[in-house]
Amino acid sequence: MKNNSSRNKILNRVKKSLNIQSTSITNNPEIDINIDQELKKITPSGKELLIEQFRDEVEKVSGEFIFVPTLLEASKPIVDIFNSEGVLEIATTAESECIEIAKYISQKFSKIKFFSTADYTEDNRKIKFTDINTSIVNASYAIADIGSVVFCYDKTLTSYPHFLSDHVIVLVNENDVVANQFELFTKLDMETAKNMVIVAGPSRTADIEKVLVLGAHGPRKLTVILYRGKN
Amino acid sequence: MELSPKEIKSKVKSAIKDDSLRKAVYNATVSTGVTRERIISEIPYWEKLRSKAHLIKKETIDNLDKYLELFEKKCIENKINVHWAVDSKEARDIILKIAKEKEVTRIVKSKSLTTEEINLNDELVNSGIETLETDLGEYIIQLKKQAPSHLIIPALHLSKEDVGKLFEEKLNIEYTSDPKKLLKVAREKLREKFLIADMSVTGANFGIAESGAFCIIENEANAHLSISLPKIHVALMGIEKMIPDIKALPYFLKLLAPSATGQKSSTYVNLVGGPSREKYNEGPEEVHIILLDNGRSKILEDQDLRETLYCIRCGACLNACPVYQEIGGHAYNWVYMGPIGITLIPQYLGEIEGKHAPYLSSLCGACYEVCPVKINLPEHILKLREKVVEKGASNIFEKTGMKIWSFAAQRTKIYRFLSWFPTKIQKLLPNGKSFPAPGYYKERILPEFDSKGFRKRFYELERSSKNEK
Repeated sequence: MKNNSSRNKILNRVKKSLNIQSTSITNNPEIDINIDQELKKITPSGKELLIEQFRDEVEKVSGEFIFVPTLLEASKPIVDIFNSEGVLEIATTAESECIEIAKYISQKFSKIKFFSTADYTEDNRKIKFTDINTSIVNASYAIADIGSVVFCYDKTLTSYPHFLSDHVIVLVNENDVVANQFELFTKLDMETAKNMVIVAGPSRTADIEKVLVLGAHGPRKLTVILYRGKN
Repeated sequence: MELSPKEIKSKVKSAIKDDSLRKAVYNATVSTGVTRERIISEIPYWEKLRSKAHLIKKETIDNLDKYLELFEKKCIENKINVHWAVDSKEARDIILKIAKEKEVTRIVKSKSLTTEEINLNDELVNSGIETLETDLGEYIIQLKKQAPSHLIIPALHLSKEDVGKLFEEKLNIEYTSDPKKLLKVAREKLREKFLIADMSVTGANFGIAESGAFCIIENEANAHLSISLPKIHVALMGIEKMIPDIKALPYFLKLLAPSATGQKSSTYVNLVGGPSREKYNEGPEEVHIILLDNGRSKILEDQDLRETLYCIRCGACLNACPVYQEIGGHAYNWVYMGPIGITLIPQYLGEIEGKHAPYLSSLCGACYEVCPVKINLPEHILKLREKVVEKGASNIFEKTGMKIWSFAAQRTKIYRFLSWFPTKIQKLLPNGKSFPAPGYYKERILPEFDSKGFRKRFYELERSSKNEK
């Protein structure tokens, strides 16, 4: 097989070349570098300060941050967004938090229709969800020091509402906020970490004369609603 | 691409004379440098991060065979099809074969320098497959039929007016130079293409050996749409992009975004660990990864230059380089440019073919200062110059010049005379006229010689310091 011979050829060349010991020119005296102490120094101590940092960083990456005491109370700012944007169709994932919010809002506002990815399969999901401008999704984690939200596909089972809508509203449980990416990757098991995305704000580009424009190919707006979780 | 010294010289000369190009390149590189500085000032452990990333890369590259085999094994477990390509042609053939077997007619691509390296687009288009770049900068230069001029900002050399005119001509829209309106046009055109594409081709920033997954970092979400909408996803990755495991990834994430774009974090960090359709009922049915050698295993042979394979393609060295700031990316005439480019060109293409490259540097060391993985670029550039000379590839003027210098340097009186003579000649030249030295034009004037000379100045200093004591 041609490809197999290429595999062996490349690996043999690599092995042959590696027989020569490398010398790293860089003067690097610290062989065992540990940044834990430095990270600790700049990580806010306590949940409240961590959330404050998360809020600041979300805003720095052009996201909007809203804090609510409970998950169901997230419905109020969400309905305000719907009213101000004239939204009647909402995309959601099939995660329990999204279902709960959708159910609650639908009971009060019958005009607003929710569309869950679970009700659509393969190609018709792609078509349907590209037409819906607003979505509500749930973050698997949030990262305080970079104002990011994390979506693990093993939990979300989709990424269409996260990327195809113009305005993405992300629900974040305060217990899922981690300090930084180092902490995130110690929390995630290897299997979950294989299929995921870390998102910092709405999509953007500065490809024309370095002028920053939000809403490149993905969401134009990202609203993070953080709610108090049950301990 | 033509890499003859004549071609390169003429490109460099015309770049230096193009004021609007120089202004665009200078503004973009300097502003990125400033935002980079601001962001890293908020990361007090930046230097430790650089050292750690350097060590992780050293460990991976020094054991690359083991990590490649582990990556392959884990990818297969994750149902990712693994292909190996010795050179550009083989990589193109693999992609074309996949496309033909699946009767692909439309491909969306997300920004990938490696696909530029193998010159993929022409091959696909010549085979009748519609191939569209989806990163805004890449889309612009594809419409303009140009190559990228920067590793991260491909259309850095174009002004918003240039882009406005291009869109007016190619996309039949009313002229506008407003980046927001231009982006809106591109977004609408491309969204449609994402939805109907049969296959996507992307690069990959990191291959995670222990997970059998790979990472794609971006800001526009075009890479995400490319990997989640078409039924087939093909990723092309150089064999040097390995990292050992997922715990190593945050070091590189922390370094890459500030170095590349002056952001604390890139907007999207995508991790791909297999076809998602079976698991999540959407996205690709097939994921392929092509591991490209194309000269990389040869680079490993040199125990010092091996370090150039640590590069994470952030472009920080380009932004810091005074030569790149003056000539932009096209003058290098190859896919990789700037300080990292000039080390890779002779290594990939051979010291004879790429002999001009190591000389496109002032050896000021700014590239080493900013490199997030501490590649000692000035050392490598010097070593490559040595290799060019050893191969006998330096030009006749350089050879003769060095012989004359060597002769004079061994004879004090002659050397003194040769150091003194130009200072006298210079005084005879009309005001503002540059001393006639190779490489110096009206845009780049040779500074005035010091009429005292080093020896006189040294003795004066010595005397004054003695007097002070």
